[in-house]
Amino acid sequence: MAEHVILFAGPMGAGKTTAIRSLSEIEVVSTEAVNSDQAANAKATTTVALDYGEISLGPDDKVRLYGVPGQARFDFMWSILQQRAMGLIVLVNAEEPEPERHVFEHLTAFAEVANRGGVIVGVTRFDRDRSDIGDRIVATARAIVPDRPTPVFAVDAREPDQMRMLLMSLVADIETRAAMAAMAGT
Amino acid sequence: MLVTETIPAHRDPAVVAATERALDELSARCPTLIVALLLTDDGFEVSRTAGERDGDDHRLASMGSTLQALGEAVARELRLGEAGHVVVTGARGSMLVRRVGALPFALIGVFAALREHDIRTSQEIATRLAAALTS
Repeated sequence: MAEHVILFAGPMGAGKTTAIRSLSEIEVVSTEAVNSDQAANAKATTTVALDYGEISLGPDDKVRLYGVPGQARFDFMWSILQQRAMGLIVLVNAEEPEPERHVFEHLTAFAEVANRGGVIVGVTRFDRDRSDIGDRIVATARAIVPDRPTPVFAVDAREPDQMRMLLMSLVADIETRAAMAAMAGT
Repeated sequence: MLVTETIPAHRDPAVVAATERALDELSARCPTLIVALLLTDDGFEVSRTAGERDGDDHRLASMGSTLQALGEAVARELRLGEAGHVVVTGARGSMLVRRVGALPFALIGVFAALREHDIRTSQEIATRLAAALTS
């Protein structure tokens, strides 16, 4: 059985915990804490360690889903969790100012995973009339990962089908890259 | 005293004062204590014992918040009942993290040599602090 470790990264409020809850076939292990600084972000709670869920993508494919804390003061968890990861889903909220800045920050912070495995960007709360936001995100991803295209999807983190499509795209990307690397090595 | 919702706890003077008193007592009663912090559940430092600060002041509070949450998640997953405290022990000392009553605060103590006395004292002080913050 192939096992993939996939990280969900992105700023606070992007939908990481919701996405993992949408996907997971087991009860999600969550480490939510009361958000004591409502002035900085109105969310009631925030992840302080990790979220953990699992999903099977077929009889031979099991995916372990880890959500990382969105706030940079927990970046030591970013380092720990990306050691075993083969794929990265960066989620950003399009309603936040400059969502492309968060794409930049997280693709930079998780460059190790992005280079080793696969990476994909999911944009939540995306208004299809605001194509400029999508364009800026695509341009930012291209600037950070210039050697290959980084897929960017508009998604609703609450919708299991949409999140599953995002995840399948990422796993396909990881497996294609692994197969190509194996072929290049033979 | 009330834990107010309008001012973030880590900036609330009444909360800061109460936690400072608690840390002073912990420091006085636990001779091998190196440093102690009171923090919010989401990793903001409320107060800490006097002493030298290292280069990354916020890291200890963040790590304490993470350990507290992981400890409670493990206790929940394994159905161990209400989580007590988490201890990480190394060759040169131990770090203890425990929740302050049922409040969204945690107490961290870093000890050169953690003893049963220190664990009991931290529990007693955390319980009294919780009562003070909710009275």
